[in-house]
Amino acid sequence: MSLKNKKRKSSAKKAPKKTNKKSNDGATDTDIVSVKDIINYLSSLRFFVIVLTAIALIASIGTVIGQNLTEAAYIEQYGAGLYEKLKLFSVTDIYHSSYFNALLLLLVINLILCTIKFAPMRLRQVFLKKEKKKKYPLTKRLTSKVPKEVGVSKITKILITPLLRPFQRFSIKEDGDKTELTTEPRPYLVLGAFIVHIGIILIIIGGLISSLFGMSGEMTILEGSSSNEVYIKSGFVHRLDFEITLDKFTFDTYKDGTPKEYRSDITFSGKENKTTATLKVNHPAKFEGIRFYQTNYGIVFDSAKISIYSKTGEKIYSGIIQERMVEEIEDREIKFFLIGFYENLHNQGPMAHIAVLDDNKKYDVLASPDPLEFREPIEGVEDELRFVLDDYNLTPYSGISAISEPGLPLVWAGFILLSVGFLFPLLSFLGSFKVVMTNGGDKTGAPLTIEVFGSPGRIKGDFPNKFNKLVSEIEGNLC
Amino acid sequence: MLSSEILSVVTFVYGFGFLLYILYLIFKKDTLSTVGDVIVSIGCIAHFAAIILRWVESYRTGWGHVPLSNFYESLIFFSFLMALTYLVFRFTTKRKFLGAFIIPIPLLTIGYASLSPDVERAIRPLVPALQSNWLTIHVLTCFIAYAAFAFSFVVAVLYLVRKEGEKSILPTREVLDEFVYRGIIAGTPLLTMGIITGSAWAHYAWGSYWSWDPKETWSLITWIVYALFLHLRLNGNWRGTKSAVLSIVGFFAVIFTFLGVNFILAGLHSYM
Repeated sequence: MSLKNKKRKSSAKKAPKKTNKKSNDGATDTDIVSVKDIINYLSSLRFFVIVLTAIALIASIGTVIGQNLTEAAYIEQYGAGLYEKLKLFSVTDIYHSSYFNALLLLLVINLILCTIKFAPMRLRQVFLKKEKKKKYPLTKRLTSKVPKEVGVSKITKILITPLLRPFQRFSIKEDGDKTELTTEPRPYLVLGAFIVHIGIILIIIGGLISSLFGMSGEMTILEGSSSNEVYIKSGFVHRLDFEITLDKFTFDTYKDGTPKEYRSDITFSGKENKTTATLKVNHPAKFEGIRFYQTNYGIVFDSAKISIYSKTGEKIYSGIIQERMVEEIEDREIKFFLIGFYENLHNQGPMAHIAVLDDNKKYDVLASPDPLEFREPIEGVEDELRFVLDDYNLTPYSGISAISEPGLPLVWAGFILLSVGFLFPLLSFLGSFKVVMTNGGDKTGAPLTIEVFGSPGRIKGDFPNKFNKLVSEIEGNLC
Repeated sequence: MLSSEILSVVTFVYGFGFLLYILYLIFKKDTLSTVGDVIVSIGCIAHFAAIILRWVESYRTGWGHVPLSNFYESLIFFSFLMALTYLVFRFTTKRKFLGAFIIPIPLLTIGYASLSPDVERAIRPLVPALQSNWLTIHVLTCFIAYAAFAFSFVVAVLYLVRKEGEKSILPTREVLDEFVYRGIIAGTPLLTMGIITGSAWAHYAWGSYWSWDPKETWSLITWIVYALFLHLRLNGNWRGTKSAVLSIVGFFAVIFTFLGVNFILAGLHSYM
């Protein structure tokens, strides 16, 4: 039966009569019927298919069009006109768009309503002792000369697979001359879909709790310094109640140059306690409920040692300077400061970009470690000074993610339920078998009649093979 | 490396097995199918031995890791799983029709991995993000799921080709339809586990379960297609042609997740 036909049939069967009769709280029956219809639609398979398909389609768009790129990158790729349209429909940040979030919300509503709708029926199936009469489409009749007790013992061994006992229910019923042996999937296996749905709901609720009440941001700490500032994506700065000191950052490579390890040795300094920890990729640390992860690293310029020589080669200055720190050469009215530092400028090696102020004029100088005789003097500056970069100091920094997730236990519970719930239908593959043994009563005169029954459950196709295998095994052992 | 040499030989072993299955379809002699099964079983054992050997070799080179960490190793593992899936199917169901249709998948996969100049076959050390036990469980679950979906895909194509009422070496359409379902009901929980373990690993490595990386997103899309398949089959009674077509669509999503994302879209999984 198609989905459409099924829907039509079920609505024809269930469609209530619409009247305008007023109820006690003032609402008419028509209102109640409308609400019921909406709830029925929101919990329907049709609605689930539409929402899930829309989520898949929108998610796929997000993999084709780059997400959260710079405006310049979008304009270069798509042109200004198309970029405006993409931005208008939030395609540039599609996974946080209002319509994508609305679809996720509709999915949660569908799952919750579906779970509520089917839970009572499923729970009744599991917990009510009343047994449902099962139909066995496959049957086979055999006869045997062995005594019934021997038959029962042998067939019990054939029917029971020790490894599957937790998932299979085995029972023996005696009724006069008849002994009935049955094996079937345990009733709780019908709860698979129910458990999966609850798992998904828990994951989404856990994620929602973490995004509403949790915190996630980035810290950048220079080696040897401390910080308690966490930069949240929104631009907000969250200050932790404790400080983190980056004692040492280590970047190690294998002999072929492949990165081997990014390691931050840190110290947490709280009000009452102080503890050290090591952060590596795949090795987070936790302090006062917040988890810290190694996410990136880098090197920043710290200071440079500069020497200045006069036209005659006399060293007139030597000192350590930092960016934007104005220095003055004694006995001369010349000032200079470091504008920037380049580790390898145009493949020429390290360079310090220095601004020199002489007689109210500004000159730009690039100081390198080249020997003095290779340095060009600054024309126009008194005494044609030459600048040499003697040494420089770089400091590594570590990029650390700081995350607090109050919804984490729910997410993990959801993961576990999802994994377990999906295994249930797999275990229902086993099918149901019934073997009825009766003493005498057979025309051939054989003392024992054996009737074998099989029911495949939801998987039917290859079940006849399984059934025939069981029959052959019984024949081989008893006939 | 000895493991790579063994795998090159295994390619030809599968090729020979495939030839025997084709001859079985033409001449309908059971012996051809049986010899094909023996050949493919030998190939599969050698294939497994080569994977173990590569693992040992990785320790000899000083890196020491499970051979599931790059494109070559994932192709080799997937082709092994496909051959194994066939053998499990063959020996549990006693049905002989599938060899000629499913063995081309491991044959082409291992052939491409072993012979293509574009595939890097050297053993490389693991970058920090991959140095985790989650790697093994994540890749194992995902690839077993892919193999189950590939099985369903092949059977779904056979379902569409099979004409009801005609005499054929193929089983009835009803049986083929159930095999399609069986593959998907085995693959979907494994894909779910694969996504969950990947998500847990990402959380452990970077503090984020989900970052809408193209590989993550496409694995979710694949999962959605199979979730729709199961819902429509179990609650909407979608069977037969609709079910087969949806299984084929699902497998295209699998291929895009495995290969398309790596070659077309960049992201966190670019090293795979």
